[in-house]
Amino acid sequence: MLLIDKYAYFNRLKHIHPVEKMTFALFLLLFALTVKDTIVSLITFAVMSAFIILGAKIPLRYYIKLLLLPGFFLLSGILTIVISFASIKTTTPHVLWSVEFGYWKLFITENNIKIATKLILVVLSSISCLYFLTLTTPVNAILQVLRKLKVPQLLIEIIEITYRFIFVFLETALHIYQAQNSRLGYMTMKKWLHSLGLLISSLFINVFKRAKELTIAMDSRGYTEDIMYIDDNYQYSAVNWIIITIIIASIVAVYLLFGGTL
Amino acid sequence: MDELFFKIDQLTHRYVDGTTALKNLSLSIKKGKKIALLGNNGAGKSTLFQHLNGILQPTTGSILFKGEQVRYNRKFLMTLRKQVGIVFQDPDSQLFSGNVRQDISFGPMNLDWSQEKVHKQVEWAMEQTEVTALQDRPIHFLSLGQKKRVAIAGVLAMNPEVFILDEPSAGLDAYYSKQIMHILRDIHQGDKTIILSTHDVHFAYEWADEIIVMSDGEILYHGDPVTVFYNEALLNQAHLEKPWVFETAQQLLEKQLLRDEGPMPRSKEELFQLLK
Repeated sequence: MLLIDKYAYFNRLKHIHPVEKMTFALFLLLFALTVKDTIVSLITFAVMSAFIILGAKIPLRYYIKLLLLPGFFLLSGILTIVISFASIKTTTPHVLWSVEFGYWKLFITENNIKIATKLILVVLSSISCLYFLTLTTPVNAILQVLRKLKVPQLLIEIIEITYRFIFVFLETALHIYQAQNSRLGYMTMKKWLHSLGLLISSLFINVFKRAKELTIAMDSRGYTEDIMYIDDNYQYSAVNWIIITIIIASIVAVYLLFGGTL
Repeated sequence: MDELFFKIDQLTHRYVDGTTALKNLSLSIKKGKKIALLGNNGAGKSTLFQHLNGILQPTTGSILFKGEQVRYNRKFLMTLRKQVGIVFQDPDSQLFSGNVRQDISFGPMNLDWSQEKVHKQVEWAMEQTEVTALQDRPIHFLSLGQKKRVAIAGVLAMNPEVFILDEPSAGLDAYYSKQIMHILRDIHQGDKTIILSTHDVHFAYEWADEIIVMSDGEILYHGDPVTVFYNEALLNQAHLEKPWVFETAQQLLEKQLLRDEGPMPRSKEELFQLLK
């Protein structure tokens, strides 16, 4: 199944109250995004990565792989920021590198590098916050908190059923694929396309069948308006709150110390 | 006098695509019985079950529940479904929640019980089906057998009076099939009515108070679990085998190796006791 989802259930921080984890991750995320400060981003990234690798015991290799996922988008964004071009007549201050061809020159300025570094750091720090949340907190724990926060029930139910169905469909698609593959359905390009078409169409039919069956099953278990459960039992811990407060306070302090203003 | 739970009269069900799944079917289900529904694939067993839970509406004919005509409004269906629990054949279509304990608590929470009662029922149902160790697992980490047991626990926790199970042992290994037999025996002692469909004639023969044989939307037989297996023509028509205990006993009786006293042995143990 999906590894990222599996870690959410089997990590060392799974027993921590989801409210604590959400407060921690979301505060650092919002702070890093608001102040966009290099040092704050660096610290946030370091703290979150430490919690993910040392705290939750997520394998380093897997974490690096996850960090590389947004790499492509980051890279394409960075390139356009770093490299500027202008006509050769324009004077450009603080040029680190330039190349001329014809009337044009490509160049990189000190300022551009600064902006790009900041962007990379802000992106890394924010995704580390999000990864911390997704890697340590199961979806149903997050939903439980959202219910407590009085987020509209309809939205929560949609998220919940969508989440469950992701796995139903992955499984169904895998079964269909295996069945097709074992009967040599993917041997040539033409067959591959044909089989894929069949797979997608039968998956669609499955969507409707599953949805109908689920409605019937839910009705027969007395479903009326809201999906309700007994809550999972999580304990608040004073120690955790103290740690969270200290970390947040330190980051804010460092930010102020290095000349930031709130 | 046995109390009648369901009285089905001349029930016909035709699906929108024109196939007739049930044909003029009449059936009475008494309180406190263990009933096994046998029949070939496509005999209409699942359709019949869905009628007992008010999921489908009859094309013609009527269904009485505790002497009252089943009505298809919200209020009546709610009372019906509180008392009649159904476990579907494919657990994937029944389970939807984040984790096992949550899913099992879904039904009981809909019954407006107190938190303590819900907790107690959920704990109890998990123990009965041996899924307590899995309670924090999300549904998609479970194997088919585990999902099946969670699906049963979800209905068990609602403590219905009539328990309907659509092929509870399909897909389970021998140990868990037996486990489910034990669960069924336990809940039956609490004066419950159990109706299950199965392809396992050996199990039906040993366990059931009554056997119903269906074929092609009609009931071919409804009665005690022994007589039916003397009727070769009927067995052929419904694609049924004889239970091995029954068949062995028949052979041994013919060869006079078995004491011919009392009723036919229904289980392995009973058979061994009668051996000369």
